[in-house]
Amino acid sequence: MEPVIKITNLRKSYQNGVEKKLVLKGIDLNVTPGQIIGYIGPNGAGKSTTVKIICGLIDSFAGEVLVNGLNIKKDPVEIKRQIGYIPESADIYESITPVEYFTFIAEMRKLNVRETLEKAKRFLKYFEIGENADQRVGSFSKGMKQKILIISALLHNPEILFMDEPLSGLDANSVIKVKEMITQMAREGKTIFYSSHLMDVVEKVSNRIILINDGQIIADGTFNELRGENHDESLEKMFARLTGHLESNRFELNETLKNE
Amino acid sequence: MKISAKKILLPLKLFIENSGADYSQVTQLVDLKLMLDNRRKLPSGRNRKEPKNSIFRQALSFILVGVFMTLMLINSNDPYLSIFIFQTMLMVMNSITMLAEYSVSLFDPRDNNTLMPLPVNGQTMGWARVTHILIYLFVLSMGMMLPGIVLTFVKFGGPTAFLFFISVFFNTLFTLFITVYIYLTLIKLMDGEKLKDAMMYLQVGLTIIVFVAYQIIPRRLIPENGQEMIMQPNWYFAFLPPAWFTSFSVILKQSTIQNIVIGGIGLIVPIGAILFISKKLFHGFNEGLIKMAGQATGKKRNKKIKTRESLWFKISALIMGVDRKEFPVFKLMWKLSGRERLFKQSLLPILAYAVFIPAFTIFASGGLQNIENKYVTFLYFTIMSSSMIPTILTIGNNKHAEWIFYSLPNVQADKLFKASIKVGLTKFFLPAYLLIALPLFYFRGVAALSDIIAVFLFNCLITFVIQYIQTPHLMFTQEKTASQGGKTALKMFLVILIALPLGFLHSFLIKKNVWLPLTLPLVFSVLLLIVSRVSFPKRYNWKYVKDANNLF
Repeated sequence: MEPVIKITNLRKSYQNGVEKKLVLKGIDLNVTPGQIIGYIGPNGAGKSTTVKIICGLIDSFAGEVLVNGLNIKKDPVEIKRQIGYIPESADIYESITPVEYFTFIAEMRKLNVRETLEKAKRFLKYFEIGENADQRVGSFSKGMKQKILIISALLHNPEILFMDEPLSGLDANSVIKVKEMITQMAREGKTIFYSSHLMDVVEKVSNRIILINDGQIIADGTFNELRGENHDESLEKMFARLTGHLESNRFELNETLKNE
Repeated sequence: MKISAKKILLPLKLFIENSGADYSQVTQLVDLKLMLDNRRKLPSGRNRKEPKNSIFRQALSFILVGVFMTLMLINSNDPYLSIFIFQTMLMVMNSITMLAEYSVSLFDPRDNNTLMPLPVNGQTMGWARVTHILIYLFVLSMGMMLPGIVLTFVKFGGPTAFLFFISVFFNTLFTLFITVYIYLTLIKLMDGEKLKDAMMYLQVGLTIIVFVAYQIIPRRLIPENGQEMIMQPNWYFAFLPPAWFTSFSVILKQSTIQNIVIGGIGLIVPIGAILFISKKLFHGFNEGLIKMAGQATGKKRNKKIKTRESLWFKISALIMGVDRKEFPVFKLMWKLSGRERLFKQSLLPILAYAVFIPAFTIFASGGLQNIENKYVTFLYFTIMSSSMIPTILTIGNNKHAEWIFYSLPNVQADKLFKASIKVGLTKFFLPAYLLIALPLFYFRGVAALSDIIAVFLFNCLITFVIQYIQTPHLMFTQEKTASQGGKTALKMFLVILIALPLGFLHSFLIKKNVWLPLTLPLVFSVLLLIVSRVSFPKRYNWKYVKDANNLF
């Protein structure tokens, strides 16, 4: 099966003071349609950078990124037309209402505004914020803003959805709803690229888990495959062991707390 | 009045589409920006009415500036001279407004997360940003030029007035696109923190250049011919942008080959600039936005942050009477103000004016001896800079950090605001002010000390009054929006109206009696104490601040 996402030797560096910090050290990855990728790793591992590069939000990098056969460097606009992206932080214009925001998204994506708004309202109802459709986003909680971002990424029915820590700020009920939504989308053959450090959600929704640490992929497979290889009872344990954080700082923490 | 981008951008549709941008996306992006500008300010707790876009109100106020200029030129019978001065003034005002106010909006990366994932190419993004600013610049330009156009209509006829009107549009377009060109070139050359710093210093540098050009060019080109001033156009005027638009405006009245050629440049250059910049450089707009968001790959100096307080900090705290409760805020604001780029980007060009106005007046008058009587009056003009401090102190991207002030015990609202104003006045304004005030010792000897103190106290007084009457937004928390542009120039104009009579009064007192000016520091001190110690604590409490910011 032809991959919908094909990444070859992806490298990215940032200048940190006088030294150059390599955040991605040659990522190679093929994603086929219908896969739910759980892209996990510790803070600063390069998860968000990978997602932002694939989505065309960072344009200076080395290597090749193809989405649906299109090169992100050459056809960023066409790729953006085909994908959906849910950012990590709930950055959204505070002075407009969800309906106004969705109208704008529909116009920019050249969708039928009336139909898009009907769809958006169904989503709002699904996420239990239907009655807030005409209120300013500025008055919303972080979780409500996050729901608006999730909805706006789905309005054009994208074949590939990138989610960068999409659950931040969401309550338990909403997390269940997002998980259901992801599963349903995968059933329809859509590809989900789910970047997170929340192991329990990744463990439950993903059919392929990719563990990234220090800019490199260190594990790749289904949960069962990874568990078989590493004899770990949970993804969280496996994650901690592979990234080398299981026991390292426990003693120091105990000592520090005592001193305080 | 609701502005529809679809209608007003129609004259540019051909250019927009020709560059590879999507016209409908451009208009939608501009409409969104205009809607956000309309709603940016949250209504205060007491008045929750939807705020209206102030652009037309600002334009009305700019008409006043235009009337002021028109009055100066009412006796001129030379259309070239009148229109040249208007065009120069327009170019200077537009450049200043563009550099001081709108350049921040041009590469504002705050909505990157919203806009960058959308299928929008660089040309579309570039046109949307530029035309959004163009709308504001054009409305303000028309406001300022309207009295001049009316004067031209009455004195030199309808056709010249009509061409003058058209040339205002081209003049505005030219200024805007040249500024955009400079910024886009800079973005190509560098990135990261270095780019942001370079943009800030470029802004300050360009502002000074614009001001120098404004001071020198008219003085060199307008010869005095007995009582009446006339202007003799020459071929070398082809190198002076204001002359392009002037020649174009008078082309029907003075149809010389020279005016036709130079006027033609006024059409060709802006159109050429638009075509070149939008086709060749706008594709880098998205790249610019990404770079401004700080995702840099370039080199950056590894700056060590000083932790010890400087001597100037200690002196400042002493002369501004910072008390124990104000001190922690004073210290924090002192540090933050040196690191907040948006704040420095807005304040430094204004301080640069303050220093260069007297320097060039001295230069243009042929030396200090020729302006002895004017200098004290002149010193009062520094109010143009200090009065901006309360507004500029609020500009920054730290909206989400303001909770710290509400949550800490022992932080009094009035102390917080007073300490911040004191930082603005001493750390930034005072050094510039002392530089400007120095020549006064040349005229008045030691007696100048009382004048310098008096005018500084006057600056403090007006700055405190402005803080007292303006919405109490916390420091470095307010977005800088395009709709705020123009307000700065207008505010400067209004405070000059207050400062000018006081300057004359001060000069008059100096002439009358050697001891009389000594009363002024006393009067200003008393007024300052009343505002600072009585009025401020009465108004500034946390309820007032929270209500005004729509919090909790």
